[in-house]
Amino acid sequence: MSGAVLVVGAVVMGAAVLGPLYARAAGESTLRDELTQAGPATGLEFQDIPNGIELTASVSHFARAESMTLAPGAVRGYPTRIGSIHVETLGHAAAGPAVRVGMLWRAGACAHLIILSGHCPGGAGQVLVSQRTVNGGYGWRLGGQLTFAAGVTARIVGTYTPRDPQEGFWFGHNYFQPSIGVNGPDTVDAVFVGQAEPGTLPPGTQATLLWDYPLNPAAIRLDDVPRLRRDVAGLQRRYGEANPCTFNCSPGEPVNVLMSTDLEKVLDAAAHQRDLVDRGTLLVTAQLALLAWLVLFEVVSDAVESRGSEIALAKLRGLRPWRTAWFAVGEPLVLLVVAAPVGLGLGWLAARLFSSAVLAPHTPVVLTWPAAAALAGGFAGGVLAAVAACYRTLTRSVLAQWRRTTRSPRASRVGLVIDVAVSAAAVAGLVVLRAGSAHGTAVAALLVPGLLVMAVALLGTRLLPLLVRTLLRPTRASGRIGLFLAARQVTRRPAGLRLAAMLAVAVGLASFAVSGEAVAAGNRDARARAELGAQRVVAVQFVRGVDPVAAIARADPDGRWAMAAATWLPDGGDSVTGTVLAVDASRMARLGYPASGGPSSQRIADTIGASTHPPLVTTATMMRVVIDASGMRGLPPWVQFVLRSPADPFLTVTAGTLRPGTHTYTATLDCAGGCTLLGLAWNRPDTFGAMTGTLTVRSVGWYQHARWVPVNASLTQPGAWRAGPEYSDSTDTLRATPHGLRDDYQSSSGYGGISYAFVPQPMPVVATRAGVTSGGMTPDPRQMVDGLSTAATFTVRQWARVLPVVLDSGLIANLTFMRAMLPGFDAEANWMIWLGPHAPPDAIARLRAAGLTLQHENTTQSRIIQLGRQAPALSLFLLLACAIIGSVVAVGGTAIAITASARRRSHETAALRVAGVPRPALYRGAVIEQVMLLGAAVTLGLPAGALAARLALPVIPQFADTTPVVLHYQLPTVPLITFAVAFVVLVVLTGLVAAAAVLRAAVPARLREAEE
Amino acid sequence: MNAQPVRCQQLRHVYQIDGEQLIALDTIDLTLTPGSSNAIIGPSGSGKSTLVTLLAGLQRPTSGRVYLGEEEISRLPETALLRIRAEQVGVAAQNPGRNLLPYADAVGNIRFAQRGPRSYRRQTQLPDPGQLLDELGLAQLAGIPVDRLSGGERQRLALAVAMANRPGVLIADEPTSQLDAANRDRVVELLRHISKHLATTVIAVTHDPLVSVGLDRTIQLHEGRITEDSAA
Repeated sequence: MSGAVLVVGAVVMGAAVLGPLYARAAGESTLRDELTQAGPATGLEFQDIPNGIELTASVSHFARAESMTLAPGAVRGYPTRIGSIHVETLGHAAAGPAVRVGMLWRAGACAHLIILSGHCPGGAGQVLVSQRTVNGGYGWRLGGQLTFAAGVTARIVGTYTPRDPQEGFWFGHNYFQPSIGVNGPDTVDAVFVGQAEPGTLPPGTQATLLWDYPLNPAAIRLDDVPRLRRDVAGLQRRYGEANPCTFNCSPGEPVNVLMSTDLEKVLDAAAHQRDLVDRGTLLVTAQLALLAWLVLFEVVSDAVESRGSEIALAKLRGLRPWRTAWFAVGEPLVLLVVAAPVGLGLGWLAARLFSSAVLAPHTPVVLTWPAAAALAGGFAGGVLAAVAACYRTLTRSVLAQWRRTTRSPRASRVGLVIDVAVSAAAVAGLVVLRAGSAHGTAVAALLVPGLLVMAVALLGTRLLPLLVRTLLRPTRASGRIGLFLAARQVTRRPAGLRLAAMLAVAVGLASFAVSGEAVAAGNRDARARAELGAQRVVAVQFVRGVDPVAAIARADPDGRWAMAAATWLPDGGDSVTGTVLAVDASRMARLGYPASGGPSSQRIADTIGASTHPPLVTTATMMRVVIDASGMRGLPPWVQFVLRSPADPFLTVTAGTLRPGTHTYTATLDCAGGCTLLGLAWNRPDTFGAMTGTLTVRSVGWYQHARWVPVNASLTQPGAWRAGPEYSDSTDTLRATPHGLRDDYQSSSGYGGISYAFVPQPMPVVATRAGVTSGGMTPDPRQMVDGLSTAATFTVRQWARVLPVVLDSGLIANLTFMRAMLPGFDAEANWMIWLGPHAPPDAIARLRAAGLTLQHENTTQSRIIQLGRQAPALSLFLLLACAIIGSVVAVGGTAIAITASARRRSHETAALRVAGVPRPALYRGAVIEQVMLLGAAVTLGLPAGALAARLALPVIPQFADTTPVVLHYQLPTVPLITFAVAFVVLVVLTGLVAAAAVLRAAVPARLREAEE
Repeated sequence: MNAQPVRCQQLRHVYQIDGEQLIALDTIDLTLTPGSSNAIIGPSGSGKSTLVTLLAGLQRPTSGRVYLGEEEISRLPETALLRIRAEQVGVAAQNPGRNLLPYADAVGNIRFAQRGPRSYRRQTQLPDPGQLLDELGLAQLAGIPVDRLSGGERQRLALAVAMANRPGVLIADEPTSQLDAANRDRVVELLRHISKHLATTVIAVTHDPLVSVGLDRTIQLHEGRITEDSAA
């Protein structure tokens, strides 16, 4: 028994310590995750914009201003300062168009770039440009010369691609976001120069001087947070006062460095998470500690009870009451003293184990004063349990002890009061759960399960003897001695019923925890899938000239494992308020995940991909069209192919001047990267004036693989072509005839044409209510506009509550349609590749080989891990772990109690054997008794835990933040059944072992021995 | 401690069992002289053991009084009764297992019994365990753990432990039960020795008439009343 007291005492104190240790570690983990995930938001950004200063001066100004900023390492967590000078200017190659370019010097930048050719700028007049710009058709090339504002020139000495634009080094600055200019030059990636280079630009050029201090999350512990807040608040006071330098600033004037950071918000979010963890951990470990305490009470009771005759002897010898008390509790107390450090070690080990299992890597588990206080509390609880367990034995008279008087009526009344109080608390908790809200509900949600299972366990075990009593009469006269003996024991053994109640509580809590964790795991999975859209998502840097869709088609021609997708924020249109997700509809059903609560991937694909005419995509070198023209008035227009290529969203290729009669018009194409035929134009760009006529497009063909191939352009199908909407001043009237497509064109400006109608108009989309505008000024049909002011009309074919990636604010459209309708889309969108479960191991290599520039990768698994490290998940995990520990402790306590009772009952059983009851009958009786008691625990605990889960889980927060993804709370059948089966096996084994223990101790010689 | 007289006056004890009254002792008047050895005999249910528990202060009589020396113990609080058992009354209960710590040896058991008077800081010197065992002729049991002793040895050791504090009164409940004749005789001899040489009033409750033969006085109980008293 001493060993049992030591073990259970250690578990009680371990459980007490585990809470604060785990809460602390979880707090550290959530803090680190929040800081890491917030990225540049946690950094300090010092900025100085010396308007009006000559750039030469601004460079020297930089050094002076830098001296006014924070020294690296002055504030804990900010060991690095990254200075930069950024100048917006115009630049062009010798024979290329002008582009907007950021001339950038950033300390140590080259270490974060992949140098594809050449080298980093090492002196004046040298620039490092991005490979994407070189490929962009601006005439930039290695060794070439660039001319910037005011004739400043520099030589391209190298090309680069950023290692990862999301890397902390870049601090979230948009140095790598090229765009196509609207009524102006395009914007290209930053060019890197030496520090003195910006000073060569003309005065008045806007320069931004920045000093970025990225936070090192690993350096920040919870203990550092208060000081960090104070330090940053002090910096904000010092650098927060804006005093912008006027146009007349001179280099000698005061420097006005401003500082900005969002650290405080991030720390607030981390504090919120910690609060959740603390509360959840406290409630969870309190339940484990209570359960372990009950087991300790039982074990110490048994230990003291086994010394009952010695205590009676002490009283018989007249020992003073305190000496008798010490005689009784001394051993348990000494054992508890020994158990304290053991428990501390166990708690620390468990916290360490849990930390490595679910918390952020390298999260420290440190001993804090709350843990020490919890240890003291656990010890006090253990002492209290020992004293409470001893009380009954100590207050019993010597004669009562000799006679082994059973429970007093007073104790029974106290027990009843406790049962009623627990039941009332459970009912009150249920009421709060169903009717309450916010804070109260969240607390109740974690408390009610414990109360509910306790109430069911206590009341159920009160009913058990009444039920079993009905077996007494039928079995008394029958030959089933085993059943009779079992029924007798169950009805007269309060200790056995206490064990059953304790086990039922453990089983109930465990089944609740199993349900909770399974439900939460399912919801984490659902949320991660919804947020990412696919199993793996790889960000792609869009490079002009490389069509992501075509590249993916080359890497995965069958569409088994990869698809293109892109998110995009429209530049206008007054119809879209959220994010647009454009997906490859032909692959969506196979590779995309649906969002829980939204339509299936197949449904989305069917809805957005409803086009009866396939897009006409080619890599042909030539294209031709046969046209029969008549009735032409005005100067004849040119016949042009209107195409879209990755390199040029406005690819218009002229195939000759339209002539009366039937003629073939041929043009040479530059479509190695893939071109999509959008339409045909009758264009007369150089001459204004009206033109009319009738023409019939008889056939289209392209030259591919050294032969002409007819193109199935659906020229004879009504609706396959429409008048080009962009040709607003033309009135083309189309009619499909058996000979081809007839167009009666009329244009006042000399620009008409027809569009291949593979894009339905308006374009069908699936949208959420919050993703698009409705009512009021919403145009009909709705439209979205790109940065080039091109509008695409769309109609919401299906409303959804939530959608992949855009969640509850956005819409999903067909990527092919979007690209066809919006020439600015390709460059403006954030491209990504969705990879499915069948992606080969070398998928990334294949995609790179296809010409794609891949960046960072996200996976649903990594997102699930992230979500699993949020406070609510950590609490649920702890609940599961504690419930399993609690079950094991309870089963262990049961085994100990049964062993102890077997010793006490050995006389009785021995007497039965001597009286002639066969051993098998006694064994059967003992087995049935244990199965009745332990089986009752399972029968009561499992449904109680499941009921608690059903009621409480919907109000237990699943995540630290809100999500529009629809969460599910159906009880998981498989984990529950698995747990039940495992527990039943454990219970049956315990019953068999216990029965054997009872029989083993019950030898007839026992009757001759002195009573212990 | 000198031998104490023991006196019962109109002693009555009634048990309440399932709402019914069971009279265990009915108006017992009895005086035991100091240093005498007394056998209280009677069949099962005659009230012998109840009388022993009342004399030892292990329960209170329903009515009547018990005197130990000049002190009425039947009205004393529990703490005072503990002290009386520690200093004035030695009790050897019916079952040897109730008198001995099974894991200790004879000396250890005697020392345990001496904790009682020590806790009251009694001034009179307590006997050395070895010396006590020697006095009682049990020196050979000194270092043997209780669970290795025979039934007779345990019974005699129980009497020795009850005498650990040199009480004025020794109460032994069925000291010879489960013993063979030789062991019974040894126990009786020991009781007589305690009475004569250790100045102790001995009260032995037994159902064995042969035990009473060796003692000074025999009191017979039947259905809670004294039916015969050899001193009368």
